[in-house]
Amino acid sequence: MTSADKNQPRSIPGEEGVWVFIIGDMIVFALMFGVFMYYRALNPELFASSQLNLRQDLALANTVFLLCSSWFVVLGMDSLRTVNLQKAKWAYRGAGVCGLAFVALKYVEYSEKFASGIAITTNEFYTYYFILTGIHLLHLIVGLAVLGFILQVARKPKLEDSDLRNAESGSLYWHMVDLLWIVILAIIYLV
Amino acid sequence: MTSENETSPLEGKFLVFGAWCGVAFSVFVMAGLGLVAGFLPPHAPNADAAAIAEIYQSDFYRIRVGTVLMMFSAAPAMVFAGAMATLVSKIEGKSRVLTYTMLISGMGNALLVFYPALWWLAATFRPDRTIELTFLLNDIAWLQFVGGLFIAWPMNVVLAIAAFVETGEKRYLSRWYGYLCAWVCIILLPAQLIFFVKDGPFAWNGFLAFYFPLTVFFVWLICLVYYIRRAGKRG
Repeated sequence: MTSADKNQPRSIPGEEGVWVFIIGDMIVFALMFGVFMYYRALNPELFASSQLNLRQDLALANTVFLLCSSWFVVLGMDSLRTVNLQKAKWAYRGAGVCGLAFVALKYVEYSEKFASGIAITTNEFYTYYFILTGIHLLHLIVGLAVLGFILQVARKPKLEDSDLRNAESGSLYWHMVDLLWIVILAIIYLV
Repeated sequence: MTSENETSPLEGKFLVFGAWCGVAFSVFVMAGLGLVAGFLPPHAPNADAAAIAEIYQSDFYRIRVGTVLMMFSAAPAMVFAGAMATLVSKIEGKSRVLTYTMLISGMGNALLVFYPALWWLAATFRPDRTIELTFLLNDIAWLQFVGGLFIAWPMNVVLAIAAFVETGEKRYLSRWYGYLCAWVCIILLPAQLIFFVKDGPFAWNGFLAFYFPLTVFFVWLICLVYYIRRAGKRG
């Protein structure tokens, strides 16, 4: 490495440590997606017929909410960097509202399933449907707490470098939650 | 850093000892459970009562010795809990909430190896008893060992928080370790699914409920042993 390289600004977003978390978590989800595909290959008819009962409209609405929330997070992070704190606060609030809307729709979706007598033990498809979407929902709820934390950062009168670093790490987490949902949408609801 | 947080030579020695107790804890659990009792891979949760009772009727001497060894691991686990709490107290300073939480959940970790072993011992105590009762004891032991999470889970929460709030030049924990602990908090959660399914990767003998969290637990523990030992040597 030359001295010129050392003077370059760091190009990895967030701090290094948060990537331990993100890559680790994506590996776990990759394993779970693999498990789902494996069981689907063993029993394609059951998986295809059960999938027809899922609410694709709610899933698509939730996708739109999460994509919007990610856009709000990008906007918020950009506003934090340019010290436009008022705008940053509104952007992170917007992301939080989209996240809450996602939770509300998931509640509707799960309630409908339970009301029609479908539960985690109904068949193999629903076992993995509830496990994958449930673990994702758990991540999203943690993400709402993270957004709340970033909002507290934006309320500070003066931002330190460490505040920006923490906000960036938290925003990365939110993007990961969004990305994982896109994969869940594809393999559980659509394909 | 206040002077009361500095490590005295005696405390340093105890910390190094406590770190090695973390190693002893894992060696006794794995040797007792795996090598001696022959409980690895775990008994299938979908096996019937006769098949499970047969294990306890035929191999009871070996199971007794192995599970007694596993019960013993609770003793070094408590010393390790003391060392973990001391490490956290050095980061926390005068406040004690994280330290006490660490100590109590470290004790919870000891309970999670002590009681399942005791249930297995009870199952082997009368090999001629009704097979359904042996079946029940086997369920209780495995459900507690793999699924009894939240009594020890705050250890990871505390370490994540401690790594994130730590300031100062001489760090006791790395920040990436805080993220690792936060990740461990999440990947341990699917173990709660063992109460709902009896086969597949989320059953108590499944990859995502048992082997994967177990492997990550040891990575977590080895790093922590390193940090505690370093804190002791540094003093």
